[in-house]
Order: sequence, then C-alpha cells, then structure tokens
Amino acid sequence: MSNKKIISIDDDSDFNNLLKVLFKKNGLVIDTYDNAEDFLNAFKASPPNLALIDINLSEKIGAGFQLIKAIRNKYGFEIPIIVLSKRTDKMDISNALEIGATDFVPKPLDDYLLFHKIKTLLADETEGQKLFLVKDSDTHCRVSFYQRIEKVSEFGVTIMGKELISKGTIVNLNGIEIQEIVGVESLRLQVQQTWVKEEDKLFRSYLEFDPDDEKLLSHVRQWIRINCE
Amino acid sequence: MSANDSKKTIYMAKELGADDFLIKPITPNMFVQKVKFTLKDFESEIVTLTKPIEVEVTTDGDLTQSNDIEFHVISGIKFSKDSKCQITGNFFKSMKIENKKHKIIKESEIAAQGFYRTKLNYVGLSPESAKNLRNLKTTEKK
Repeated sequence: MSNKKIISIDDDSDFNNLLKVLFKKNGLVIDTYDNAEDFLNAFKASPPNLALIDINLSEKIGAGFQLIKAIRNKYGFEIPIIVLSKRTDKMDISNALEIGATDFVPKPLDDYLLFHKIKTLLADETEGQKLFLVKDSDTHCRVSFYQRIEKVSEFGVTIMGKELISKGTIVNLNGIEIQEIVGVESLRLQVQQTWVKEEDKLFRSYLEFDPDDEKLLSHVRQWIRINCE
Repeated sequence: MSANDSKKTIYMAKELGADDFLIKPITPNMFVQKVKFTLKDFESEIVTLTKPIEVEVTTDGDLTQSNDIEFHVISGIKFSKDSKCQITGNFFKSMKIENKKHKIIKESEIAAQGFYRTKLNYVGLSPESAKNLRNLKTTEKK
C-alpha cells in the first residue's frame, strides 16, 4: 500500500500536518498541498492513486469544485477523489458528488472511517472486507431510481433506462408527470416484458395496466387523445 | 384459452401458432385488451413521447449484508455501474444514516432467477453512523 501516491489539498497547515501523522501511522504516505497551483502541478507530474480535496478552500469560493471538475475533465473518473468538508455544508457535499467526487468524509475527521475508505478504494477488489448479516426484521428496504417513459398506449406503458427490471417485478411509478397520464401520483404495476435496444443499449420494460381498472383506463385514453393530436 | 397454466401447454400452443396466451379464469376486459393488443391495429393509439418524461421507479428490496463501508441489496433490478439509486428502510433509520444517495460499486450480479445483488458504498457517513455500524459488527461476532 505504501507505494501508492496520495495527494491532498487543504489551506489549513495544522490539518495537513495532522494528515501526515495519521497517514504514517496507517503505513501510507501523503503529499499535502495548501494551494491549487502546487496541487495541480503534483497531479500533472504523475497522476496519483487517490486525491483528498477540501472543498472549502479560502483562496477562492468554489475552488475545490473547480479542481474536481478539472480533474474529471482531464483524467476521467478512474482516480478516486475523497472530498473533505465540514459536516454543516450539506449542499456542498451533494454538489461535490454530483460533479464527480467519489466519496465524502466529514470534518472533524473520523480517521478510522477515512482510512477504511482509502484502503477500500485503493484495493483492487473490495472482497475480503468482512460483512455481517442484517437481522431479518431490518432487511426490508425500498429501492428507487429514475427512468424515462418512452411510450404510452391504452394497454400499458414502456419505460427505458440503464437498469434492467426483471420480468415479473412489481414496481411503483411515482411523480407528477405520471399523474398527468394515469390520474394517480403513484401507480403499482407489474413488468410484463423486458428487452434491450441495440442502438442505445438501454433497457425497456413494458408494464401493463389493470384491464379492469376503468377509472385508470379512461384517464389514460383521454391523455392519449390529447397527446396524439 | 386454457385453464392449464403450465409452461409446457403455453409453449406448445405458441409453437402451434397461437400469438398469446390467457390463463382462465379471465375477465372480459382482460380478453378484450389481449385481443386488441394482438391485433396491432391500434398502433395509432400508442403515443411515443418526443420529450422524455422522467419517472421515479420504486420497488422492494432485501438488505442482506453490511459493514461500515458497503452494503448489499437484492432486488429485481440489475443496476449498471453508473446508475444512480436511493435505498431507504428501517435499517438506515436505526443506524441514523441520513444520506439516501449511495454509490453503486459495480454492475449488479445475478443472485437468483430474476433477482440481482447490488453492492453499494455508503457515502458521507457521519462518525456516529459509522460507529453504529461498527458496533453492530462486533455484537454480531459474539
């Protein structure tokens, strides 16, 4: 692990010294920088295996974000970037993840968490990390993601996206947009067919309406009539 | 039409030239819908959206394993590596995990017929939640 190149940027020199001590304790080496220019030069000299970026740099508002964007534009998404930020900056955290940060660790630093994350990101495979079984009463969860509606007919709706939804899966379609079509904000449907289109490599799922739900069907027919013209 | 729902009967009927299959008991509307759909004269009534409409899709999942870095969910969804998803449930509440956005580690693996295992990393775990997860791990060992 010690042959990995890790660099960081933070304008707080005390924090940088702390990082150096912590990294040494964990058998790792870090090069710390306190300004964007030196940090980027080090990055250019040879791209690191991992980078830590404080997004609240005082030199310029948003400098941390610009660094992440610049790295992602030039070097792609291969190099893990961990963002450090004060816990209170919730917007900053989601913005940073949105523009391509790999993960986020809050300040004040929980060093156990930071090094567990670093070691996981630097390891080629996450296998070997011990996982425990979640107790039965806690296993139920809701999975949610976004797809796009491709086609609507009076029989059903076809949705498309990067995710394959297995045939037979029961899903809910939610949102104001779906409400316009079917009349309810959340509609429970079963996937009848799934397929992938070669030209865009996106998965399609066909979901059939309940043929006995007159209220639903008449709403859909009306929507089709308006949108066909 | 048949009261026999065995796959073999359906398969044979399709092989012999049937377009689709309805299992009895059927409702009249089910029948009409299938017939209309099979006749395909209704193409004009299919609206292909020119402007894509985003829709939130939710489904049930099973949270099977976790530590303070990653967790595994089994569901009917096969996520790609760059998919985005949110997972909610009692477990996250009891661990005081606020952030609902998690990072998918890699493409979902098949777990059983029609079910996929998705491995996700926790993102932005608070020190408190991380500690809760670690404590769980040690109590589980005993």
